[in-house]
Amino acid sequence: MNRKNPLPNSNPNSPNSSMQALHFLQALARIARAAPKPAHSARTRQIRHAAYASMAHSSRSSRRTWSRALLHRLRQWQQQRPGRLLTVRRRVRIVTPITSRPEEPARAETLRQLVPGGRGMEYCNLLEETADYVQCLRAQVQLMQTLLDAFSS
Amino acid sequence: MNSPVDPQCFLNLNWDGLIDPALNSIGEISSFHSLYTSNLPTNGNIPLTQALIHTSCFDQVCNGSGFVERTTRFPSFDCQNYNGFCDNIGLMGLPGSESFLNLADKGQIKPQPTVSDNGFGSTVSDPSASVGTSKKRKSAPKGKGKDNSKEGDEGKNATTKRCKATDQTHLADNNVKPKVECAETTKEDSDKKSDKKDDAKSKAAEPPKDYIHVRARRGQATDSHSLAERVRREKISQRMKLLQDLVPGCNKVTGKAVMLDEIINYVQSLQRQVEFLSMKLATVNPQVDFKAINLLAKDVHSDCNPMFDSVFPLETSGAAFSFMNRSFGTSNTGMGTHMSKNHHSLNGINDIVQQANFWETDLQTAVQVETSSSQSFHAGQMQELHMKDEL
Repeated sequence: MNRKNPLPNSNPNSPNSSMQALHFLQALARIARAAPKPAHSARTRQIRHAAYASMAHSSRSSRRTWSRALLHRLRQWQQQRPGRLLTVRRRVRIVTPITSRPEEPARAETLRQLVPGGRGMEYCNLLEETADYVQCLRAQVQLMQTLLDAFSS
Repeated sequence: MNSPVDPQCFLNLNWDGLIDPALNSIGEISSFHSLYTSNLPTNGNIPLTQALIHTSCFDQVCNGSGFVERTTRFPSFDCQNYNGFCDNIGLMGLPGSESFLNLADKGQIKPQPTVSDNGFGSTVSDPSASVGTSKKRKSAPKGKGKDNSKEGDEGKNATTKRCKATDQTHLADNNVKPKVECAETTKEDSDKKSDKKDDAKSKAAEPPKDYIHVRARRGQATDSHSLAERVRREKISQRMKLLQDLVPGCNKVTGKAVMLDEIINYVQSLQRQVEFLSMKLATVNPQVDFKAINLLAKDVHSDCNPMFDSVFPLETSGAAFSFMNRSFGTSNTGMGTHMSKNHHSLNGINDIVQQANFWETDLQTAVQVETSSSQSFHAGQMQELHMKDEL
């Protein structure tokens, strides 16, 4: 089974995207090395998880709330895989979410659902996390595009 | 007088716990003590002096912090109890008490008055110098109960003074006065404490403002709430500007609501792109040798950390070299910041590529396809290489 073991970030001064690329490439290598070739959908899922994991492990975002929430979500996804039963577990939130603040615009709720870990944040921090998340997402997309181009040539 | 409670043991009961703060104010204690002892009445016995010393210490002790809690623990300190107590004792029956009471009622007692009847007159006003409420002293001691029920500072001080007055009358009998002193000092100290608390509260209100470092602009409200609101709004607008720079096409849009929509759309599109690209990679991936990926990873990592060279095997290939060239050449936006580093690494792996030539024969067909593409790539055509996997 393919597991994405995150590498320890030994060099904190490295550029963010190169760390991201490195993690992603290593994960891809692991996926490619997997002896039983899984189905296409399974590989898709694996690669997607690898992408998110490498995003979360980039040096810039390792301190962010969204990266931690993303990793948590990834672990949940990975645990669900072996059973092949996609049990949609509704997380029982004991604390009422701070989503109905009067100062926030109406669309803030959607943004909270998009950004990982956004439900527990205030609006101010949500915007900051969104900015960081967007940066990482963009880098990841570009990386994957580049790889795709390189591999398919 | 027969008091139901022995004053000394009464005091000792409570004083042991309160001795610590008293140590800090020994100087004042001594001054108090001198005042007390200098004007000792002839009735003053040794136990009385001791009680006085105790009470003087008590006064300082009462000024210590945390005394209020202690007072709550010892209900006997309450002046109300004392009033009942006084009544039981028969305060008014004491000789000279009335005269002293009248004396006390007449205006404020100066800190160093010349009281003929009792030298303790000076001591009366000393602790109560903080608040001047002697005007209320005219009511009889029995009225202390009423005044004690008042919550105002004046009421408290009045009762304390009256307690002192009666206490001094009792000094002749030397039993109840210590308690009164304690009672009055409790009241005073609670007043002082309340004042101190108010000051502390007002002071506490200031540090939060200093911490945020907000200066109210001209014509704007200086309320702490509005200040915080303004800070928050500024933070939000700052972050929105950041996002505006990140999200393409947001420069023309103005207004927070539309901006939010744009941001949400952009995030959704990015996530969809990740999904789509991962699907494509899953299609392409099995055909690509993971050794090439390893090399890529190694090269990327050599920028960051040369120590990791040993982690990945040196299975190089010209294809990998072309990979790197191509990938790092085209992904300007993603890795633009360290293009120079990539160039360095490109130079650095030239020797690696030479080694790869030895291993070219070991490479799989997919890699060889890339090798051929790399040759044309070396010709300088970076963009048009789309060699299909015919093999």
